[in-house]
Amino acid sequence: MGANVLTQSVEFNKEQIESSFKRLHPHANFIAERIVYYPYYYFCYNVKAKRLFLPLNEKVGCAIDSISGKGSLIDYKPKWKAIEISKEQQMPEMYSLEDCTSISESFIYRSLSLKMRMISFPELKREQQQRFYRPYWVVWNERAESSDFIVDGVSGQFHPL
Amino acid sequence: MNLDIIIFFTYLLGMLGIGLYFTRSASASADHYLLGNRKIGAPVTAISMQSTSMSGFMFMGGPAQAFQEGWHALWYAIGDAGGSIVNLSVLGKRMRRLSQLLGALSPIEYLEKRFESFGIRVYGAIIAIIFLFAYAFAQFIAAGKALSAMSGFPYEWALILGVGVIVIYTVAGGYLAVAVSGFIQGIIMLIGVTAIGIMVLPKVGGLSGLNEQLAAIDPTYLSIWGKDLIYYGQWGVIIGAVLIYAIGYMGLPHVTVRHMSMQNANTTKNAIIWSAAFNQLFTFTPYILGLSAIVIMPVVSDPEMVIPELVYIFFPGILAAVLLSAIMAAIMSTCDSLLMQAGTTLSRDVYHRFINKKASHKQLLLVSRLCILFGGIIGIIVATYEPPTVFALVVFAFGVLGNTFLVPFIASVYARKANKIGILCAMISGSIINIVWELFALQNASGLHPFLAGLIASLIAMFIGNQFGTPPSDPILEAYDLAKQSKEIPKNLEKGIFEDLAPEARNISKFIQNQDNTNAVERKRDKDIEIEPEISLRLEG
Repeated sequence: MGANVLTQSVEFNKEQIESSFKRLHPHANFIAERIVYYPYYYFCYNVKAKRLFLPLNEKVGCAIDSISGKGSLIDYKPKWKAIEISKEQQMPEMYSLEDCTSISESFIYRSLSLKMRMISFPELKREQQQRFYRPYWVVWNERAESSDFIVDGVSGQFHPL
Repeated sequence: MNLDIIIFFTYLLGMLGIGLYFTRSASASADHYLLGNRKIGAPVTAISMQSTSMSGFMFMGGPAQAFQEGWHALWYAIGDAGGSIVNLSVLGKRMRRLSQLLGALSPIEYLEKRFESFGIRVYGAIIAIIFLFAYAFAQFIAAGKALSAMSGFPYEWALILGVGVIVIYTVAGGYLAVAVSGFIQGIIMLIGVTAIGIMVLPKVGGLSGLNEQLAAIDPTYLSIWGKDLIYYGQWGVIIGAVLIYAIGYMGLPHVTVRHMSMQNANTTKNAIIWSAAFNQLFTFTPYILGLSAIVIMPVVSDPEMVIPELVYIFFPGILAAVLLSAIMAAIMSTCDSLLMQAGTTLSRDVYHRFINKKASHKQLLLVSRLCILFGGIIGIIVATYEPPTVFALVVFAFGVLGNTFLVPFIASVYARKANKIGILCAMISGSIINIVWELFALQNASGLHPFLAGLIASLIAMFIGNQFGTPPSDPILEAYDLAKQSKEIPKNLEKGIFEDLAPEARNISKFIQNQDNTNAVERKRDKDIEIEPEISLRLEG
């Protein structure tokens, strides 16, 4: 039995991933074995604050990883589509929407106070929230002593497992 | 008001206009501020990053030291250029991994989590804030001197004007921080510094001609021991000079913001590589210009004004003023990020954690901004009444930061059983010995650079203190072992690793392991084989 969820599209197929790894490391054999779907909450805030010359009235988006509760700033609003994924592919979330909402507010305030210059305290208004899943490829290295990887199916960025 | 100061303000207004234009055109989202301009190409990002990291030290402190001490000053540049590479490739890798595993956002938070001690966080944050401000004060002095040279105003007035502009800019504006204005400034400086080098070096007969002329003035200018062989045989001073920039910067409490690309883009990592390349170009040139100035203009009332004076000699008035304006704007940008970091560290790491745990976001922002304002006022007082040289202040600030944090950082990834008492002892003794060495000018008497003295004290204190503390907890030891990562990663792949994905990688790894264990249990039922239980890490919070 699968579940219907909102996900981002997989931009890199199995062959692309394997050939990219092959190009970077010709002597190893990497196998993009399967895709797992990682849960996040997307939040979009409208930020209002006073600033010299140009009042601030902008949108800021962030994604909260609902397994480890970590926030990330995002550069574009994600596009989603509804698909059915199997139970083996769907990672279970650890943080609820309520937890992630409060994490996202603190995360946005922290990022704003670090990076943005404002005269007044910013007002945050939550405009959108959505749970979504992001696809990650699990890439095995056939040599046991070498590291395996995950590859972000949207951006192509990777990290050893 | 003279023409140069009019050009300076016109330049600032121009940059402000560019910043406003691009802010307005991108007004649908605030990410051009928050994400450090990740949407533009790597070289553009790199030039923009480099222009905002160029400090008063580069244009005033370094050349002045070369002007006064000869080739000996290049020891500092060698540490600056080579150290960061060694640092990133040797220590950095394990530290980044462990930092991600511990979920730390700043180096100070990392130490707190690695050694499980609030004391480390408090002491680290206090030292970081004080010496971050000391570093910012050096920029204030540089800004005052640059403005004074341009405007002809007395130094004190120029200082108040410069710091005033910086503080207002930091708290309320920040429009120069957008990528396009940073890029334009970077290009102006890149062309400017290269042009000064191209014009100055032939004038002194290239590097060999420069050396011949320096030898004719005073052969000890060419010595590795400094002019008049002042540090003759003192390897302790040389080693300290090389090490100080190589590692001092690690103490700066850089705060990272995690980022997730919504499209296929990875300019940041490339930008860092580009930026490192630009850094190499800029590290040595100012020192060479300082050496050339000994030949071209042997009498200078203030050695820190060597580059502004050279600019006025080799460029027509308006171009010189534009170049100095770009230098001044770069100093402002450096100051801006230092002050923001100090304000955030004080409000989040000290005020929120230890003074007012229930502080609202509004209060935290207020504390951060007040911190910047007070820092500006104290900076003006220090820079007016007891102005040290830019070089001395930067070396002092970097020295204390390095002595506080170097041993803890190394121990965090290379000493499995290092404990909180040992680390706290290392931090306190390293910083105090450096301060005492500087205050009582013990370098000449001992032949040891304050940085090296602090380093030795820090190491000894760690070994002694470590005998008294309790060993690290099991989860920390497990994270330490994980960060060592015994599996090999090919170099080509290692360069492309996106560190922000570490938490996802860890969770996916656990997810797969759980699935495998479930399958194994099912297989065990069939085949009756034993499986090892999974060890889980709970490091968050």
